[in-house]
Amino acid sequence: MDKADTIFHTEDLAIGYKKAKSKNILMDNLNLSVKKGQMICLLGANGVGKSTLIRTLANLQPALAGDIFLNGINISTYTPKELAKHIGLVLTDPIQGGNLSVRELVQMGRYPHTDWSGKLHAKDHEKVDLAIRQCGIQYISGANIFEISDGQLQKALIARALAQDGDLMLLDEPTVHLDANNRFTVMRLLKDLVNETGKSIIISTHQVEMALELADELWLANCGERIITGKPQELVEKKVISKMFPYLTTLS
Amino acid sequence: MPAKIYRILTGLGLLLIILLILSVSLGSVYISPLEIFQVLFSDVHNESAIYNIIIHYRFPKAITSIFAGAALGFAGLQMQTLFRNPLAGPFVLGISSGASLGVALLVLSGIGVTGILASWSMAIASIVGSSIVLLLVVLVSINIRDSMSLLLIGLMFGAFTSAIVSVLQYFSSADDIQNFLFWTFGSTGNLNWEEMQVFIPVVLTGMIIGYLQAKPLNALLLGENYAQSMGLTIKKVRIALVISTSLLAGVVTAFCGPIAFLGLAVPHISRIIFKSANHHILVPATLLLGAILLLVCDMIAQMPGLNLILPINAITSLFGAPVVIWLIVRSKNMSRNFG
Repeated sequence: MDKADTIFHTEDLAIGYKKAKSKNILMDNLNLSVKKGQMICLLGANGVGKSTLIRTLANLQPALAGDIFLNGINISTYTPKELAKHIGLVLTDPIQGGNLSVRELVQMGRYPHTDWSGKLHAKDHEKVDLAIRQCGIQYISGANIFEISDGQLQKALIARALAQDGDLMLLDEPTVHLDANNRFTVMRLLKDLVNETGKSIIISTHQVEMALELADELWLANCGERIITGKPQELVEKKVISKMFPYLTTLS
Repeated sequence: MPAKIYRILTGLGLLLIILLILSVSLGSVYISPLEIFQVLFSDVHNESAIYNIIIHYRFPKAITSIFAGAALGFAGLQMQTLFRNPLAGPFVLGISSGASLGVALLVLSGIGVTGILASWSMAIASIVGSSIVLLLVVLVSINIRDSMSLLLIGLMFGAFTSAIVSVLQYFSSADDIQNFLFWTFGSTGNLNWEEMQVFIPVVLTGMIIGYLQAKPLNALLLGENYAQSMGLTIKKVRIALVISTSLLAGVVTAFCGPIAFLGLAVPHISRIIFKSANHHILVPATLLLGAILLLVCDMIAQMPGLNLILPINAITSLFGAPVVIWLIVRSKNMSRNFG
């Protein structure tokens, strides 16, 4: 793997929260990189800063130190609209936009691509249709978003991020609140999307087994330690996984 | 946009025109629509009583009702989407309280302005009051990212200014309190054509600024994080919305008094009628419905056969509140009806 494949990387990034004079640093010295067509799973205990990392990478909150680069250019130099054309997001924020159909929700993904009136052109409709097909939610595209199940909503939100048509998708715990079956289908869907579209995806999750099976790379976050990165196989062999998730061995 | 939406919008537009003609012809003296057209479209500069009633009294009142209703409905829609809260309305930001404070300071301080000066100084006082609160809210909104906090701060501004008004009332003479109370009753009948030249351009400016935010308002339905991830600059949008709402609600409050309830109710009625969350539909819907509702309330307030004009503030609440309760009960869950 050479550097040319890297579409997204951080240099000495520190994340956390700033109060009047004190800083609460959750992670620092982060030098992470994402290559084209990679599915990366970010694993770690609650409170370790997974969501904060996702939000910082998406430029929703400022980094405490260091820089983030998209295609070699610092993300702080992108206009919000340009950045939105490159990075799609799925968050854990509750969605309440009632009276919205699934299709209208997915259409919102075209926001950075349309003019002030928000009018969708033929190309936008194509992208929306494609995203709906790729996520397999054609059958509910006319339904209101408060009529569908959590699993269906999660797929609709993924379709919305897909329609935004960036090279990178960031997903914060996309399988939370879902039952085992839906957790599997959503993760499988994401893996298929990476294979089909060549997009890169970063997912924060607690599903260690699925991550081990599907991810191209794992980012393991531990409180007070550096993030450990590597291929799942390597990390298993180095016993990092069994050290971090001792329950896995007792389960199997 | 589906054809059905256009049909409903066109229907509401026609209804508005019919109501406009009705409201000009109804009143203590009945004037037939034919006479209205004769007065409007004849070249003869007629100084008859009917001419005076139509041109100097009923038309300004009807036009004021239309613009004020549209402005309040639209302002309410913007606030509800921005704050993701069904209780938000143009008055939540404390704008009307600011306006009341301005008027209270003028009226209750006992500076006896009379005649033509009175309405102008009242208008200026309330615009100054509302824009001071607006400036404070804008300053706060630059530093605070969270809409809920902004909503609470708006409520606090409102409570604070209302308290000052109460204190002022305590120290005022009975006559001054009565004058102030008349303003709080609300009326769309106080504007002459000169005042309309201020009122209408300000309302239109507020509407244009607001309509340019229709697309960001749609994005805000998903919450501020998602909106930002779609390329929206929250601060810019929030400032534009606050300016638009303040212009709309501020100028209406200044000229017509604090008209309750309309800004809160009209967006809900629009969502229920149009079954949509799309602001490209909801903006024209709230404009039309707001105008229609205030015009109807105004007609009820000056009911033919009654020799008095009831305070419009009482009418908007008296007839509107049960309608909204019925609509909410029918739609079962209100919070899912907006973002």
